[in-house]
Amino acid sequence: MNDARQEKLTSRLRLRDPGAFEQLIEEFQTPIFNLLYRMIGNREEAQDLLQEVFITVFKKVDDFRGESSLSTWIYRIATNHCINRKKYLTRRCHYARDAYDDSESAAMGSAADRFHDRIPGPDELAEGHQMERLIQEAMAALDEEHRVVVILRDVQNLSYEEIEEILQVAAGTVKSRLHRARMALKEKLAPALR
Amino acid sequence: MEHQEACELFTAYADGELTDVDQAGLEAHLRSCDACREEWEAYRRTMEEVSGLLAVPPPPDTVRLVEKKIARRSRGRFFAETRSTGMSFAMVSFILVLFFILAYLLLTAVNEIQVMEVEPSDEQAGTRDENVPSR
Repeated sequence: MNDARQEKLTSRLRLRDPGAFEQLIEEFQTPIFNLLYRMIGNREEAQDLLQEVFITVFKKVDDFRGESSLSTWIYRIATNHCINRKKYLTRRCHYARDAYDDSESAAMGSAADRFHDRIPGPDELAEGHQMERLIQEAMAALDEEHRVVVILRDVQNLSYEEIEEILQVAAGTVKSRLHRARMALKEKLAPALR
Repeated sequence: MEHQEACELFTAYADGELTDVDQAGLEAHLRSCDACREEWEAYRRTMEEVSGLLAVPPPPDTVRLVEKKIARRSRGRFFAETRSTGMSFAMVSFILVLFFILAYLLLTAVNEIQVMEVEPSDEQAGTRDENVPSR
């Protein structure tokens, strides 16, 4: 979504136009859900957080001053929600790092298939699920500040400038965190990649 | 170039952010050092796998769920801009009527007080007149 469209959408959101809210959700639900899912590692928590993110956007849209783009602002809200939810889950001892269980893997598999243009063979599918699971586990083992950077950059394909704005850290910090995150993932995935 | 030094350049190399000199230096090192080449290959494959993660579709009814939650939390007031126009007109009318009633009552009360204040002063004036000795 380009800047002009984002500005127009923001104006309509401020007027409480129900169509604008629907458009916003349609536009951002997939990238934001994926960020939340990769950060939290649990589909149900990610679904719940997704709703909370949009509710926060709607509640705070009057405070949005347009200093960053609307999408950057929404990503920032999402990452803050993730951090708070993880703290909450850790406090409540409900969170386990290996929450990504087989049922999650199966759910992800069926979802993944819908995104494929071709139908993968059984071996390929099994291998893909295994790698997906390994990556998710390796990401879960990263520090939060490293995980979020690698997700935003390598999974969500955002630019360094966007990541700086979302996380409100300097360019050098983003790059050094990304480097450490990628190196840590490489170490963890090395046996599977040989 | 040392092994550690080469590894430190991987991210900038992958993002195409190295200067020509550094890039040429790293590439020359990778050609001559098996260990670094293996490291770079593992790094590159890791990035490839991570960026190849497929998008997971969000739940299909997100719009409805969010609207339902918002409506519940705001007690139906959030998306009520157009619907609330009638309500706000009724509210404004009610407030105006209430204002006129209160203003009328207030004015009536003020008049009564003024009348009550005027009457005793007449009496007092009458009393004073009575005290004036008759000639």
